[in-house]
Amino acid sequence: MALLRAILARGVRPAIRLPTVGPMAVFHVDTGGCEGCAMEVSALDGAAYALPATGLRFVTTPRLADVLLVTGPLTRAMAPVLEAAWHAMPDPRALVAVGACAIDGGPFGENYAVLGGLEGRAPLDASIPGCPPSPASIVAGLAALLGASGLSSSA
Amino acid sequence: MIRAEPDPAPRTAAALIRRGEAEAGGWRFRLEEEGWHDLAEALRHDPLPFVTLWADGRDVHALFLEGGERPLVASVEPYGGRYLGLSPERPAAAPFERCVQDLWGFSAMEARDVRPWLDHGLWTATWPLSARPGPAAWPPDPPDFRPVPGECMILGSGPADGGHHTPAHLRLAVDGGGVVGQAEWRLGYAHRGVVARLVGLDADAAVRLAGRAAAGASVAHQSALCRAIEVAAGQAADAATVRTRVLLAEIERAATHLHDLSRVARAAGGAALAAECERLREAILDQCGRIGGHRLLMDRVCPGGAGDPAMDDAAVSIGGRVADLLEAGRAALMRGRGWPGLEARMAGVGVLEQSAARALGVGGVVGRASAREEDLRRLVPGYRREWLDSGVRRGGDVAARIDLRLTELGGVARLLRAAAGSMPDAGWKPQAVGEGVGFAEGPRGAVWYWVRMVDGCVAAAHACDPALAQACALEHVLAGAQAEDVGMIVHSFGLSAAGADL
Repeated sequence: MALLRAILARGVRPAIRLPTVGPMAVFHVDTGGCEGCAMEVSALDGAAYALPATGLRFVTTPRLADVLLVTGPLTRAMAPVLEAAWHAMPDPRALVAVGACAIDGGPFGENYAVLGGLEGRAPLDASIPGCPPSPASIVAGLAALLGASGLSSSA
Repeated sequence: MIRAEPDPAPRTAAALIRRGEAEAGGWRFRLEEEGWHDLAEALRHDPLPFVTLWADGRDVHALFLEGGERPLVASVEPYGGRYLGLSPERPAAAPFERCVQDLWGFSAMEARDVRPWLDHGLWTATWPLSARPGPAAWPPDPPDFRPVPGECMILGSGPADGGHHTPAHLRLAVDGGGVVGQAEWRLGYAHRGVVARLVGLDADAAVRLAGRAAAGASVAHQSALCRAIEVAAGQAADAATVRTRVLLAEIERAATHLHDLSRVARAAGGAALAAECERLREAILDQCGRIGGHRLLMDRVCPGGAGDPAMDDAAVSIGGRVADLLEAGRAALMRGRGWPGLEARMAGVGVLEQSAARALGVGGVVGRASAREEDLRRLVPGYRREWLDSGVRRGGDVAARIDLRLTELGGVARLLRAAAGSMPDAGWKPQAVGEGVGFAEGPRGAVWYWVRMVDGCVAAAHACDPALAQACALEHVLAGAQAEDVGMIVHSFGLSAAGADL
């Protein structure tokens, strides 16, 4: 969707460095997948990983978020919602695609109801492949954003 | 309606369907428009259970479960794009009629509700699956919500609310005392066109896609489509494959029940119970990840007679380990559940009466917690009736749904042990008719598939997930609830918009 590309991309953003002090605030948007990736992200939010105190905090509004974490293929109905969430976030902000659908559409490529993945539509600061990726690999992908080494910046 | 020779005895709805022209193996019948009208009339008095309704481009089909065990399909060709809706007699048909309208453009006459359901006006076409899709209107119409009772405040949440679930919008009308006067869903954000994508795929690819219809019921979707394809092709799964499907379905049931339990417990403030559930679920998924790396058991069920012997052995050994985990974790779960404050928070909240559950076609855990004896596992090959003793609850409230899930976790452990030690009979080989209906009892309720196969590829299909009926039941249950209990009630249903939208 041209609208989305124009607004999310708006030139090339420099690779971001998120502050390494304090927990990383993540706003999770599922843009219409099978819920598999969303369930794996929710495992991170639970007792099995117990991350909130140590560096990863899920927030319920994009206004407080450092990272916009997207799971699922972007459906046409969710494109305006994702756009609004991105614009509500303060700088510096990162866009992370989790799972095959969010990256390139995976099994749900473009059709009458779906736009596909974010790759090529918006500059991704990290993409975490898998269908669905395990919670451990999602943590590893997010940790890369905290930027000791170079970022995996695709698109 | 006046007929030349009126029937002396009133006909049952099933007999009326059978009077049509048999088109597939004695379970699908084509009715003329008049016969369809008679059927709708008969459904007013006949309790024949309605399952689902769909279209395939030419016809509209309605699936019933005769005597609670035999699938029976009535088909009618819409005349001028219109057919007589069944929702006045079967409220459960209402969301399906709205889906058929949005996707195919066939409108149901006298339907309870004719507003769009999936289509927000943002698709590239209206009626995208029909032979002649219409252009999309721009800008899209604003959402058409039901009128709200006076002096209510509107509280909307979703589709992006930071919760880890598929997008859905819930609109509540709350009065000054914090009581919900009316609740309404706006779904369709997660519609990916699964049915459209199934068409043209071969059997293996179709089952892989079905595994991604709703992740919490991946095995159920895969198995249901496998059975539909096998019925269409006149195949039967061998005994080891049947057993593997049972084992995987039960492992999935445990994992999804734990996921749903942790969500309810968190919303109810029972952090200890939630933590136990999350840890136990993670241990189970870790085991699942060891077969082929798929923690959510996607791509683990294959259509056709013979499965993979290595997979069968892996399923038995992992089933044993999951049963060990469930038995070891039971005491901690019950300790978390036993906290008196939790009971006070949940008892009597979010009650779904048995009559409403029946009218709206709600099965699965939610239906069983409302005293409906709905468990398709008694019909699924590989299960034995003596294994299924989890029973029903009468309460119909949040506490009953939690307790039933906890009871079923114990049932899963017993069933995994019993199934691992048994060798089921190989399935009965049906006659190949090119069409098939398949079903499975998923963790959240019954999953149904219908396929028509031509030259080994899917020519037309339908998928039905329990979430659609649950969404309608939730609108009913939330009206009258306290606004602060809404999150807990919604989670107690285990609603997945991914399954509702498809």
